[in-house]
Amino acid sequence: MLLEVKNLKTEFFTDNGVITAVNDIDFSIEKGQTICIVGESGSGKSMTSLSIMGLIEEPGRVTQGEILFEGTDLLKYSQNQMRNIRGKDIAMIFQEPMSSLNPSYTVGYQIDEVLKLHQKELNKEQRRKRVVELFDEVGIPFPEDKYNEYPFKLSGGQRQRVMIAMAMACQPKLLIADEPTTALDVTIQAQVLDLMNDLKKKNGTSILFITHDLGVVAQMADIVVVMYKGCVVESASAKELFDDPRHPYTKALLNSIPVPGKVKRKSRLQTVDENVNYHDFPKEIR
Amino acid sequence: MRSDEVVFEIKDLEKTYSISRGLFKEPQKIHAVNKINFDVKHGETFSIVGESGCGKSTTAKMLLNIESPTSGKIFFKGKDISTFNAQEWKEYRKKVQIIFQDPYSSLNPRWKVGQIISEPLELNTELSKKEIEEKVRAIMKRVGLEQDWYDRYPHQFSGGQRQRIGIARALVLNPEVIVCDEPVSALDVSIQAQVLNLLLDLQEELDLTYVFISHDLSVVEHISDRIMVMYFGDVVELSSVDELFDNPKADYTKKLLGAIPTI
Repeated sequence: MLLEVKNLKTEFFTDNGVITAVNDIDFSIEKGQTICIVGESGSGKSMTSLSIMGLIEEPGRVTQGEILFEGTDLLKYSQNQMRNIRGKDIAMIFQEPMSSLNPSYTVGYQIDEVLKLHQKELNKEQRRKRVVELFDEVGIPFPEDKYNEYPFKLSGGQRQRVMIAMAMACQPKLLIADEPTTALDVTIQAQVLDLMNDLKKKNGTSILFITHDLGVVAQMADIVVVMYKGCVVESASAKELFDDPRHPYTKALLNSIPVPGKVKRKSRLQTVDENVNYHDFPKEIR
Repeated sequence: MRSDEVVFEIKDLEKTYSISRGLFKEPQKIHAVNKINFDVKHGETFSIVGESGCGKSTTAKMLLNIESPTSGKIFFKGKDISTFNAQEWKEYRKKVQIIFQDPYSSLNPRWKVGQIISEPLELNTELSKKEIEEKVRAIMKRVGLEQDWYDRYPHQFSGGQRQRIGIARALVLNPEVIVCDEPVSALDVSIQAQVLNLLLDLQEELDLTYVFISHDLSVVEHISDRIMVMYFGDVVELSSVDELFDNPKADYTKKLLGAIPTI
């Protein structure tokens, strides 16, 4: 087991009271597996990933539980120890590639920085070679020339490839991808998803994929974890979940998207009933 | 009801932007929309799909006269809109409305909901204050906004509710055509379903024509009658929803359909 999250609770202590963003959740990821967390805005899926990375900021705090990475609890690590893990063993890709790259440094420099920090045995020449190699691996055309480009010169898809190259630079054991394709066009999205699957096969990286797009889930996931208002309401293998959703919330979510060929055109779609508290139903963990 | 009456007829519509490349160089010309032709029939949902930069929003802006075409003509019910006089423009602006993509940035944060929805009426009609309020409250009820929300500010609402405010504002002048520019792409799936249902209901009830702009092919498949696929300013395919999904002709359409992740 690569990562085990047990009874995790993340709370925010605001002036208006305590808000529980993540409420007592459990899930685990095996080596080489892709787990997708799905849910709507505010369901706590991003807060779960930030909790794992140790990036929850004031006034938020992880108040309960364990995050076991290869058997050791990340919550017991100091900031310094976490810094050694982030980027090296666990890397992250964010939704908006433009705002997560520094606009005033070249993309080559920004990846070089990761290597400088985590692979101290490499010298300047070797690092440069490695960056170009990484660019090539993620399918950036003319990798040599792109080393000296600034982020604004690259298209959205290329920027996301740079982010992936940066994340893969130290061959992390776990890659956390928080809505990595939401800002991209469908054809570019398809390319980026293929790339992530290729890299996963090649390096045996486990992926924690966070998304609200159920189509993407169907394409990527081995295991799906459905979150609703901070809780996990259902988790199952992707096939089980789509063929036989058991929790009423999952059913409602699946029925709310128009699926070409399955849902009659112009028919009214089913919606998630805001007046129903889906916590009242028993959880379905398979 | 769908009929054969043509609402919009677009002929050789073209929009180019020029980008300056420095003092002594010729400016670079970008063809955003490249001599396209199509028509929109009364009561149908006509969708324009394509990826970022394909010219779909530029086309919509030209229909609304937010951008003026470089060349080509737009006929509204048989009349060239570039020949409109002041009175005709006024009528046109009432008849053709828009719903925007982002319900966060398209509503004035300092205005109350009632004020946001009444503005079109204040500008375009001679109704009294009381009549306007009655009309606004009626339309709020129709789109599913509660009566006591009249005096609230946009920040007090969720994304889906804000989009309902945008829809109410577009509807309040009894338009015939609504241009929907990615109206659900900023919303969660369950909220997206609610808004799509509302748009479908309103179309039936009020006999509306939609020009629907989207990059989400599953949504487009669900609500459209005809679909136009654009790629770098050109129309690569224009066919009925059945034709397009069952028997796509253009290579680009096939590529686009193949790229949708399916469940």
